[in-house]
Amino acid sequence: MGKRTDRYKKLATGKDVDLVPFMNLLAILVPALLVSTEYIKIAMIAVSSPRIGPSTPTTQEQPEKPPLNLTVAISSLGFYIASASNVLPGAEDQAAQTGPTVPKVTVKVYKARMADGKIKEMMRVWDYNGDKYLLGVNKIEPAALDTKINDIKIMNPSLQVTEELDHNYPALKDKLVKIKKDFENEKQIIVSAEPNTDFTTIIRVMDASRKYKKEPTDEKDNLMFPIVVLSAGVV
Amino acid sequence: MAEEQKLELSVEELEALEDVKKIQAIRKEKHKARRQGEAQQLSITSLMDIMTILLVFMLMNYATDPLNINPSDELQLVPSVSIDKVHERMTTMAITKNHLLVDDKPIVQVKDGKVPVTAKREGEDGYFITPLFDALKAQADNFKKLATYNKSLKFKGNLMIIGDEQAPFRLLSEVMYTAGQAEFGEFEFAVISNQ
Repeated sequence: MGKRTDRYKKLATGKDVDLVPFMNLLAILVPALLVSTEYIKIAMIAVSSPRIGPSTPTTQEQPEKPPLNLTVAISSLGFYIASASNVLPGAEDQAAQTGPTVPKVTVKVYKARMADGKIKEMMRVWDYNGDKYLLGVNKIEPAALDTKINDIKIMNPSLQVTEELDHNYPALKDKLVKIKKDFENEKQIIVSAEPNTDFTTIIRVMDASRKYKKEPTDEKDNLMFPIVVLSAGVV
Repeated sequence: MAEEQKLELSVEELEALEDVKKIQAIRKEKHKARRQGEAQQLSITSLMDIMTILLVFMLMNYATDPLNINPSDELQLVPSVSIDKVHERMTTMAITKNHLLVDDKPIVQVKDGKVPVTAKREGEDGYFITPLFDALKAQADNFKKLATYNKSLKFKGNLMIIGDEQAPFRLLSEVMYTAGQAEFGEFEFAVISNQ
């Protein structure tokens, strides 16, 4: 009898609403949403292709300088930088040589064995003009690089260093910055490639040509050649 | 009287009395534990708050993302320094290791970075991929039809290309050429922003 009254009292006060079922619902919903939402940030790169057909009517005035038509061609040997209408800085002394403007170089590749047994590339380091460049063509200090290598080694002791031939993106960027200094108003770059060039290489070339620092002390990057035209023409 | 009665109790009765006491003690403890359990249940409320806020936050995130990409072994995105965000909804197509997809629907098979010759209008050296053209053209027409009813939409010929890291340039040019024929002239390459 006493028990009954106790129970009725509880119901009457309504103090303890049973939250457990609602909690269950939340506990299921939260992981479900966590799985479906992505934590990678997606960005985009605007690219246009040369249009076939009549060109858009432009103003009839003759520009002071003809357009630069800066072209970077990606080949299996390296990058060829050319301009249809202008002599690019540094090109005079290269006229005699026949190889690519920016040949491929050996880079250090750090690979480690993952938990599932697969060997995965951890990072890729370019040594250019005494500076170290990490994948993503972000410049970082040699000391910071050492600590980064150590960090990975502690997490994954199977870190191995190999050498590979790869495109010299830091040198490409350096060359493009020099060109940009001579042609400040130029914003367009034409990228073309050999048929078997992979998507990664194309994106990395676009990355290298996207931003630069006008002065070494600049904190923010300035846009270099943000307008990319992907030419289907084969080199 | 009571004492007399107690004295008269037999051994069995005494034992039974002990048992009753034990049972009572156990009941008391159980009751205590239940009471404590109730007190703990109350602290769920704060957890509930956190959960509810998290849920609402994630639902909002989920709804506002115009682009939904699920990277897999077939489709590995390339990291880039670009920080341009995806602002508007546009037709998307993906170049994976095994398929060309338009809005997540497989259109053409891809093998070793090549489209089968039968899918091309001009044979092996051609750039025109017929099934892809049909799919993109349908998308463009659809978009234009929507734009006639919804004035906030405008067909600008933007196409989002989600490329796998190993997609060869030749396939990319074929896709871009075909898309160009289907009135898509501006392309956005989807990349992973590493900033």
